Amino acid sequence: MGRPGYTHMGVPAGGALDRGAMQYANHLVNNALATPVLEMTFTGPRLTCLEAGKVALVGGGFNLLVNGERQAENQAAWVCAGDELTIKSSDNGCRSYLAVSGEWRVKRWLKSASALRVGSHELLPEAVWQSGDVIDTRDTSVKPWPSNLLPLRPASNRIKVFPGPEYDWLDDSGRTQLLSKPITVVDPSNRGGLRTDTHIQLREDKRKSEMISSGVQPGTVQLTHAGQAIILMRDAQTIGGYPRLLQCASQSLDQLAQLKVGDQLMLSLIGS
Amino acid sequence: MNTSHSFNITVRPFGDSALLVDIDAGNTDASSDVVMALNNQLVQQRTGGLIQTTPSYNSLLVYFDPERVQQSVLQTEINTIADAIDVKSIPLGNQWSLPACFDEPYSLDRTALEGELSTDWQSIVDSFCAVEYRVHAVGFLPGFTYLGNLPKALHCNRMLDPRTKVPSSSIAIAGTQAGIYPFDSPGGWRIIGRLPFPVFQIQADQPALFHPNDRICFKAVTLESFIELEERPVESLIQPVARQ
Repeated sequence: MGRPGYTHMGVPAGGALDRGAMQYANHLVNNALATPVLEMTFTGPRLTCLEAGKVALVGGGFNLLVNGERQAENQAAWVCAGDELTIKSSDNGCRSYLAVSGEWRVKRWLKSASALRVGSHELLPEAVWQSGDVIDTRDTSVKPWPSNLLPLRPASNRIKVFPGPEYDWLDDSGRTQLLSKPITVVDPSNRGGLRTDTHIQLREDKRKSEMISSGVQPGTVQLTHAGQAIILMRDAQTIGGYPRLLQCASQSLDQLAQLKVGDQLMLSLIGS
Repeated sequence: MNTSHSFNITVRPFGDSALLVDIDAGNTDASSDVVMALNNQLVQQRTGGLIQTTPSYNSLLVYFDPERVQQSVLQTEINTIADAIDVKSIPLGNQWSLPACFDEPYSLDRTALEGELSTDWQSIVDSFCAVEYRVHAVGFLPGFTYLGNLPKALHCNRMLDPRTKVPSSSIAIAGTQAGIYPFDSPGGWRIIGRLPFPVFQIQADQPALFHPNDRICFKAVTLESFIELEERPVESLIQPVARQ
């Protein structure tokens, strides 16, 4: 999933932001779990089926309608040529994944069909779906039942974290601010990171410290000079110069993928 | 402490699926040598459960698959590798001589830097082109090239208010570092010039032109020749030379 293996040249692994939902959608249509899917955020497409097959929508924030009829959640739907799919946004969560049965014939870069935006540049423009595009899949034989599929986790705003490399740059008051009360996601937040409404100061002797640039990962909680905590997401930079206060548990990344601007979250230290 | 090469190493958990290795060998070049050697060894011996690594100046971020290797086991393994590390084993990297233009319209921070460094533009460009730079890391953005060895006379502050768009192939300085921007992107480093070719080519088998431990020199060219060079394929402009 995504394109792991290239952080040494600055390319983040990327891939579906909510991996659990993406895999579950593929599982429902009998695809290999790493088959590409359509990721949608806030607004969904209207699609016309050109051939018969199976589709499934999993994630948060959307409902799937086939010919105007709302489908049960987390179930596959058989569709025929000519069927109209409408994916309508709802309230909870913000990202959903549409799986379509079969092997996708799509352009890949560094073995992945995932889009990656750098500044204003799309590194794989074909991965940003436009009106008129066709999802071309080739039917494949039924895949064996995947053994490593995790059940869908219920949405939760409690994010488990580990202390990060610069956790001791915070004093007790900073730790309390970061860990003992809900914090709110603010603009601009995207696949690169979630910004928060925090104003946290580092320990007095660390306020003027400049870090030597060092590796960061999805789930790293950095603190900017202005005191804003940023939670890095899957398309984030690979190296950073801000203190890395916390590291989210990898299973929390999918929960973070469903948070939108205005949502609250609670960072909770593992083992405390 | 590695007794044969004298450096300090700490390997600690960074979340549940990564380890952070910090190296202190006394100075950046020496630390960078150890980071490179360790990274090479880890990647080449196909350490079980290893997913990817991010080498930087004095640190190595190691991503692993917790279903395939235990954090503590990998931690011990990295320490064991470090004990036997031979810094001389690292590939020397390539040597590059790069034509670059430091004139208008590419020297975006000329006036600001002349003021901050209290000197004229020609001396700034001369100092910048007089030394050889070492690639310490490629990252932040795909292909962003971090260079060390910036002359002291050129150490400068970042912009307080970063630009929303630094043009691709810009050459920049900030603090004690120099760097090359691979894409149009936001950035707070001071822009002094530009290369007439891309440093990250998406379609190439090896998208990043430069790699850690490469050495880079810059050769100032006029605006006229820069415009001419821009028309030519990168392979005809620069060729890597293996270091001896």
